[in-house]
Amino acid sequence: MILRSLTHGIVNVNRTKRMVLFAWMLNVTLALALALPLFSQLNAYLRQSVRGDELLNGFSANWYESWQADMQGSELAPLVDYSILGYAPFLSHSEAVLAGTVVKTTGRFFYTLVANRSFIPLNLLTMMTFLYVLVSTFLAGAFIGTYIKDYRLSFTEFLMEGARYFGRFFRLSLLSLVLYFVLFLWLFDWASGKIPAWTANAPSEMTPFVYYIVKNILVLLSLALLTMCVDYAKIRIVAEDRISALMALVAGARFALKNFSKTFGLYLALAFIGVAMIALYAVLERQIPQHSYGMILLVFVLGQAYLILRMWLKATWYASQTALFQSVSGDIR
Amino acid sequence: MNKSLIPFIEYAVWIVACVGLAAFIGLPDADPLPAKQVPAQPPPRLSQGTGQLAEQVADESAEQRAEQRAEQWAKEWDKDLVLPSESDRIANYTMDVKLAPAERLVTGTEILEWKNTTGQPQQNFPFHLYHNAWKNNRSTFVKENNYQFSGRQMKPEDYGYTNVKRVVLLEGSNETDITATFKYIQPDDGNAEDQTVFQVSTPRQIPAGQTMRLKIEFETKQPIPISRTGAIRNYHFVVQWFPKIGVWSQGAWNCHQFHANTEFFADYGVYDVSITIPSEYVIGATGGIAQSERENGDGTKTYRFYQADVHDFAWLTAPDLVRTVRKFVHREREQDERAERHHPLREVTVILLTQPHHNDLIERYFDATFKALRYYGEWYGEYPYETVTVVDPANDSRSGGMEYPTLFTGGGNIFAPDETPVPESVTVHEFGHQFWYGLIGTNEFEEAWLDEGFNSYSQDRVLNTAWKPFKAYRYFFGGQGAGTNVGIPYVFEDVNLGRYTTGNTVVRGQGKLDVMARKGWEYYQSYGLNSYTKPAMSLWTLEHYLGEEMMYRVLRTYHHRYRFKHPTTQDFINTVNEVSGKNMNWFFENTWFSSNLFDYSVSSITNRAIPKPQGVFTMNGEPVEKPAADSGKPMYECTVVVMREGEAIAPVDVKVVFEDGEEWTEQWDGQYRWKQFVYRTTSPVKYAVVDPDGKLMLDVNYNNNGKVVRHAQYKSLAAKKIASKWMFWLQNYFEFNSYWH
Repeated sequence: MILRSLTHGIVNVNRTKRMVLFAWMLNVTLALALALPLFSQLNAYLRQSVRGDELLNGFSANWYESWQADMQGSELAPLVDYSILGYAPFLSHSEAVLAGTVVKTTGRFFYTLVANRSFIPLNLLTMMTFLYVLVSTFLAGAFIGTYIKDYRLSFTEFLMEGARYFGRFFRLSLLSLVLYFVLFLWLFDWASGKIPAWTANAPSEMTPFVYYIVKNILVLLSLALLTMCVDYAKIRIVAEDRISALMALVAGARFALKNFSKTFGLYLALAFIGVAMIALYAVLERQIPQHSYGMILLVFVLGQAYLILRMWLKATWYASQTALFQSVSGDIR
Repeated sequence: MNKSLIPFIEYAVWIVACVGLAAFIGLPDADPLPAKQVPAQPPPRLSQGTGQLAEQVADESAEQRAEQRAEQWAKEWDKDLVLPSESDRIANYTMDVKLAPAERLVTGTEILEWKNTTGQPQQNFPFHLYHNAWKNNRSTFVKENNYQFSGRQMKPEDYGYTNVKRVVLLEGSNETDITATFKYIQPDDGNAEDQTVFQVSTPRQIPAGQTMRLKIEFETKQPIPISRTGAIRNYHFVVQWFPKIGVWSQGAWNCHQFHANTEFFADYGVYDVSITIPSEYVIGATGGIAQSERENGDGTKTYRFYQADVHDFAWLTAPDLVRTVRKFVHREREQDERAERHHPLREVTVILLTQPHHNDLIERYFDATFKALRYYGEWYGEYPYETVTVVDPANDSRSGGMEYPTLFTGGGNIFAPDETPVPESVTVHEFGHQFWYGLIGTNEFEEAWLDEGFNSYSQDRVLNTAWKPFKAYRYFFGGQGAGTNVGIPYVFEDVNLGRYTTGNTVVRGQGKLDVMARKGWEYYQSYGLNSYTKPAMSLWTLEHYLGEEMMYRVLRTYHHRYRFKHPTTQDFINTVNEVSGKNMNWFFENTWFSSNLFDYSVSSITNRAIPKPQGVFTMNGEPVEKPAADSGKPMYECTVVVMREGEAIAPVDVKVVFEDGEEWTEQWDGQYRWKQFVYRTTSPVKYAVVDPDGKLMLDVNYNNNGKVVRHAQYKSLAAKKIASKWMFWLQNYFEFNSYWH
């Protein structure tokens, strides 16, 4: 059933290539909103710089440190660090996911807003990420709304599906934010804070390493479980035209847990495809020396190709899970 | 229920959940407070050496004479360089001590034979008791650490101390108990609660030239590891552990209290130390190989170590240390003009004590130690001792990266990839202290840069010479644990690592906080910069100004001349001036005795096309069509303006490159705020670089050192590269972090 749902999902996604490209374009647009100002700053700094030309032969730690010092006051420059190099972005972002960085920041923001009626200023990156969350919420409704039907939707209908479910999905996002917030703040921050003390007396550094790995696996499993429940809640909102996000979450969780081997198996299969895509990108990126305009462009295109694939995977995720839900509930067409 | 109410109800539920959460768990930790603001430039206090130097600069005739002498010196600079075979052996210790591991207690006696070389009778004798820094939270060390024990939460049994039980003056067969004269003194800060220095007095003066013998009974309780000292689990790192006499220096006793940011200073001598430990324990100590070993029949074993011409004695013991012994043989040598001078260095027995889980690091430790033995020996003079003991410290023992005579600790991590300098960097550095601290016994309290700075420079040279550049790295998915950082390593292949790669940016950040030449405990948060980075970068800069060969001569001469002695900053400056034949006082004034920063930049480049001749031109009173000098080719008036943006001054080169490939290198004394170079050429300037060879490593911003002429619409390819990479990073950031939508 897992394979069948996956295949079914892929077939469905292939019918919505334009929508996948649309999702990618939204990603590009939001990224450009920050990347273009950064480019402008960098260009002003490097345009007449002798050292700028040297940077084509490799990243210079010295140039970087001096640039950071020269760019004090810029909101964007501090967001650039070594983790833009190679396949480090994936490691750095995975680490941020495991630490719940954005969830905690956003959670604190809402928490302070509601509990103290005051604003914690969010940095540019967090604000844009929150905006991206809203975009993703919209797209989730559009994709699931599209895949749950047994006929091809026009692009306008795709957008209408997104609009139709946006409010319910947004409420679901807020509810899940509370759950993620609790998960990270209570369980994982607490564990992360304790590991140094628990392992301080360990003779070997392997001990804390194992602790961290176990913690990370627990975080991953918890995240997988929670996102799975939220995913099926979304599907149930659409499939059963539910109004209550809270009840949908309960229903989604019930479905995900009741059919755990299938839902989790599908989740793992999709995650495996995602990891394979990252590995492929990492291998290819390393082969390309980025010394000339052509090669820099090639890496950029490779990156965008990866992101289109990632959007495809995201759509496949929705489509396969929808197919699984329909299949289990006897509603497969 | 009306379905349209559901969204409102759910928003209300969400708000209640948030408030409930607030009531239940309290507000999450806010972001950390911003770092303490520091004044941009605290009023610098000039060092005592400044006035002296200024006088020397004024003495032009003396300078000329010095230069003449230097010319002669340059011809036969190493004729008289001979390494002393032994030290003055002023402070000699014979000790017999026993470790009780469970109590972390070392008890025993020391017999100090102190030779009065002060040139005058002495009656009062100051001693260090370093362990008393961790006796309570009122010591100067702890106070200077904001009343913290390096982050440790101390239980009553965690403190450490040295308790002097009895002091006896030995005169032939007579023994005079002078314990009653024992008193703590606080020569630095008057903190009456600090007990890191004590003084005893003899009934009679000890005449100049005579030797005093004192017998001191003491016990030292090791603290839990705090600052490179202490015991953890069954690992005992026993250092600065016995009553140690001060140094008579420059007409007075020099015996400073133990400060949070200072290290040590002591006279050379002979150490004969017997140590009793449980039989199953492995031991490492100054002196390396035990002269004798004796089973005591009570489950303990006594080792006797002997080492002459050192100024300290350290030891460590643990039952699970892995001992590996190899010989350093000086086989590889450069076949250059210095080869003769680098006669085969002596064989050295290298004893490596590693943690049981660090077998993978054994080769890396040996490799680094052998390379350090070779290069330090070739450059400065051979390592004179028979052994060196390398210790891979126990996790969380806080004893990593520390040096003692013939023994030092490294520090490794099983997750460190080969491209990263762990444990190589720390191994080379700490071995290097055998030279800069061990053999050149500078005063670490007062002039820390003379050992840390010189050694950081030397360490960089060895790493540059013997290894490919190390790479920056980061651990992912881990954190702190077992006293170290753990995680899955990622190597940034594009980013070279090293002090010389980013040291100037550290100087930029903190360089104005302090003048480098200050006592270790008088810095305002810049001990690290002024003891390590700035002096190391200064020496690199000095090397670039003097030339590599001359720097080699300077340091080799300095090392030969002051081995087993206590040279000062002025001794080094004198050596530089003498050997190089140049008055380099300006250099030290601008670096070691100043908090000013170097920053030279290319401010502007202008290529102005000279218009074709128009108007009336005459030659010999006769009208001509064009000026005689006009070749008819398009001409440019090119102006390059370079600036001195910092307050420190040094001469710099300015390289100007023209579109047709022609290059000019100009010399600028760097004195005035700016300098303009004007050219009339047929080719416009393409780019200009101030300090093109990177001589002035202390320049705090290399990014503004060069400028290229580009048209207004030009878009930097490097900017495209970085921005496109960041955009990819950002796109993924959005995707990764929106999972909760």
